[in-house]
Amino acid sequence: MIDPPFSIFLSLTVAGLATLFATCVGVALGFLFARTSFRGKDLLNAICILPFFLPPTVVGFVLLELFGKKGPIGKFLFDTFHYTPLFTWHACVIAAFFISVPLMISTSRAAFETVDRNLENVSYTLGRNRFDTFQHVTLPLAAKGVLAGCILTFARALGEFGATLMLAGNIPGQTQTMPLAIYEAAQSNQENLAIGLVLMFCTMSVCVLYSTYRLGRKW
Amino acid sequence: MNGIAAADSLEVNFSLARGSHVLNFQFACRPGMSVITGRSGSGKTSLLDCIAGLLLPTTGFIKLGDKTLYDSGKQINVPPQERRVGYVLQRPSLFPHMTIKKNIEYAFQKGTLANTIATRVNALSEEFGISNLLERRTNQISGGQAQRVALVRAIAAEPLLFLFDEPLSSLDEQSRIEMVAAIKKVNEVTGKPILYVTHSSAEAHELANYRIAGNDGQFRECKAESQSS
Repeated sequence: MIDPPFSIFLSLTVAGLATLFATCVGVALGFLFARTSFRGKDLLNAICILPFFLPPTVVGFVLLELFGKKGPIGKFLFDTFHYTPLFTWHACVIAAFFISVPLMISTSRAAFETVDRNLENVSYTLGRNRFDTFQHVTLPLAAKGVLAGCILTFARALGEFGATLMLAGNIPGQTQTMPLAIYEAAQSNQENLAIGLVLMFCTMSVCVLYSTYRLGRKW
Repeated sequence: MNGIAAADSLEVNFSLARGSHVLNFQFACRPGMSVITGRSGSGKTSLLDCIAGLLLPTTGFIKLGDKTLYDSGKQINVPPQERRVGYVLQRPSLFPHMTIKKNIEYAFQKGTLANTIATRVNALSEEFGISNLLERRTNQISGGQAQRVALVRAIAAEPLLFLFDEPLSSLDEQSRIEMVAAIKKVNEVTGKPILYVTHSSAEAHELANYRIAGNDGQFRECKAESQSS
């Protein structure tokens, strides 16, 4: 039985958490790729971006192998904490995170690369260390790009379907996000419900994008 | 080196490989204005970057007072934030997301009392004629004003040495006159060594107490000049 309010709530929660985690990881990796040079950097970058280029079902399959009870991460979690994220809403967050984090890494990297290095150098010569310089100079100057990355990440996480289906299943009231609910409504000939959910999804997305753009402009 | 008092002097003796050729820098700076001349691309900016810690020399040493900033033999390389070197670049590099006041305040060490910062910002702004600019954004002031703000910001950090990389090159005539006056004031007020890079002989003649010339990759001290200010 499809539970639209739960699906909306779950989708927003999953997209919000995935965006939060992706922002932390994406900003750190974006900065690393933009500002450091080390052996294997391009290969690491390619691996990090890879989920964006793969079909979500492939990503879902890989995550299933990793987080399954026999997979390296899943086995560790089960043996240590007697916990498995599979077929819980946590799996929705994991799937949305891995699918959307490449967008955050790419946009953060591009944003950091546009920051004038002379300004960072001036900050150093004024006695500020790397962390201070990052906090007060680099990040504020890259903020608009990072914000754009957050929007893209949130939008991608909100619309995530394939990997979520494989990792979390489609359990109404537990792991059924809005895209999954729309899919089920369409499959079970509940056309009016499907249309309602689609309209709600579009309205929600427009509201989020509009308010973020407004916020960005004020910033 | 050359009998210079160690406390306020800069001693430089290093080489820097650039592609197929090697630049050699060997001179000392006393308090006052040491002007470095040389053709474009001769390595003047690289020299300043090495002293500021933004570029790594190949071999040699850099000493500021009794502190070694870089020594390839002893594997010492002090990071730029610990060198206490004020660097004014060719183009005014103000932080565009801060007001002029915030730009200057940023130069004060963390933990400095707010009252001390306010008093010092006001005093420096008054002295260098930028009091009316403090609340403006960086895109609301002229290039000459921006360069003076960069100068004040560098002074606010209380460096032991000033580096100027062709600070007049992007300015109009009136701004040049004002900036030259401001630079001379830095020389008088701080009493610290100043390394000033230019390719203009007229500028060198007007400002130099000492001259360092770069020819064929060799930077050496020239004969002393009389103080022009």
